[in-house]
Amino acid sequence: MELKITLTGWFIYAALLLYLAAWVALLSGFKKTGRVLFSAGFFAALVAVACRGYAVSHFPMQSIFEVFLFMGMLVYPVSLLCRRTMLNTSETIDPLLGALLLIPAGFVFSATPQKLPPALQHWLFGPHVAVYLAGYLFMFKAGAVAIKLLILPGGNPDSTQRNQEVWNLLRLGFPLLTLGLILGAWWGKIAWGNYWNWDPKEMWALAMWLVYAGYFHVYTATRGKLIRLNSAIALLGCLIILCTLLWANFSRLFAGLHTYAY
Amino acid sequence: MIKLSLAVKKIELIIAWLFLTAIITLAALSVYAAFLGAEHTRILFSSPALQIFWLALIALLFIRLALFQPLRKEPGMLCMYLGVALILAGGLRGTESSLGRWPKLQSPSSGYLTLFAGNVQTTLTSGDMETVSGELPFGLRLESFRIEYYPDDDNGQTPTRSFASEVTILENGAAVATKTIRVNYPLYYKNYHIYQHSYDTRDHRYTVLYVKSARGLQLVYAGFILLGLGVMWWGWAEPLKTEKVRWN
Repeated sequence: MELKITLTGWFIYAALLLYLAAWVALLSGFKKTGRVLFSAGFFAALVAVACRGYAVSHFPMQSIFEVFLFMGMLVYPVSLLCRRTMLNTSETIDPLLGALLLIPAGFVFSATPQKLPPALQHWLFGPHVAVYLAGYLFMFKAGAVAIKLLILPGGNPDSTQRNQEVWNLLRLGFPLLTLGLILGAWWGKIAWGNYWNWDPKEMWALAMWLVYAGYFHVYTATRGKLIRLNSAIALLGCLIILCTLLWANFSRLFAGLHTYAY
Repeated sequence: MIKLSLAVKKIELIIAWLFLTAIITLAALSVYAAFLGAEHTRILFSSPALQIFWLALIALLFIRLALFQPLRKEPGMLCMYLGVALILAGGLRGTESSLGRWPKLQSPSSGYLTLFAGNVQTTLTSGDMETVSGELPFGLRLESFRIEYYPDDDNGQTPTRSFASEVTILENGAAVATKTIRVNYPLYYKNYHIYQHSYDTRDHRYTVLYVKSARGLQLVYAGFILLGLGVMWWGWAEPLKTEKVRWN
């Protein structure tokens, strides 16, 4: 446990409290209050990201602390985008997702600043990581709906609509995961000489991409009728994201080219 | 006629299942490979069995496109399928393996150059820095090697900020150009990319450059562009167009 008594830290805790308050408000049916609190939380998280970026003088997306903070900030824009573009999407879970991401950033991960090694000094650093993090959020949101679907008893009238929602969320997020792979490959070619290095984190990322590609194929082949199977695949995707994001970086099992981010 | 369409349907179904099986196999293999480490994974994925798998996958992508009319009619899908096929084909073309290598091409695909100041080198070595892996069609001479450190941090450590090698390209002993190579800024000459790989961490007496042939790279990049455009078309433009997803 590491408390952050810095300006960045205070804004993280403020955002965390606002997100939790927003979640409670949305759960209790106070839609407007919930949305206002959620957006206030977002601004607090945005300030925290900016403070961090200023303190370390680079894109704050290098350490796992920075990655979680950045995702905690991105939750709101992703939620807003979904609310604006998708019919019948649930937003209640979003501030909770933001809070769940900010808790490890605020209390668990170390915020010791790290200097950028030469390989990370490239403009593709920001876009490569940012598209992945945004993509993960769509996938996590879909995962949350998939959990509900797995819990719901079969034949529930809500199921078809929620199943469609998972599909829509994954379809919006999948291009981000693909762009993450492509930008990473392009940058890998520039920095290391190969667009694909068979690095453990790359293999996890490929497995993740394939699981979601598999989801779309199964969904289309069965016309979305196997709701439980579809939901299980969407959840498996989330599990692999966690492996790629956390396990691949923390375990010595997966030491490789991506291990500067921990 | 009915019999024929039934047969086509059956083939379509078989191909769809084969395709899904390929995706599942590859996903499982990727997870397994994550535990193997990069070097073993590279060997595994360029083994003859996997080379055949890649070729079969490319064929399957085209067969699917040929059989499923709806796939061809969706520009996003079409681009994605072609993009993946191009990436796989380019990847095969770029590897050392016998299957992917055109018989005419004898130039080395990749290797390392260890250069001391003033020293001219054309011989590439493999990862162990000893086994010779090929000869470059031109020479490189190290003029100077520079390294910069970040100022002391609170822990008294000085991480590396950048390192760079100034090299001269030589053709039949004559200097052609002098360039600086540093991490993220490779040198491109005669279909080869030359990268700043590492250096003598003790005395800074030599630099290690990584040389990689650009063979197959254009195919891969074309694949990246097609896949990227295709996935954005399919995931973002198409749903907005068909109003499954709407800006409101």
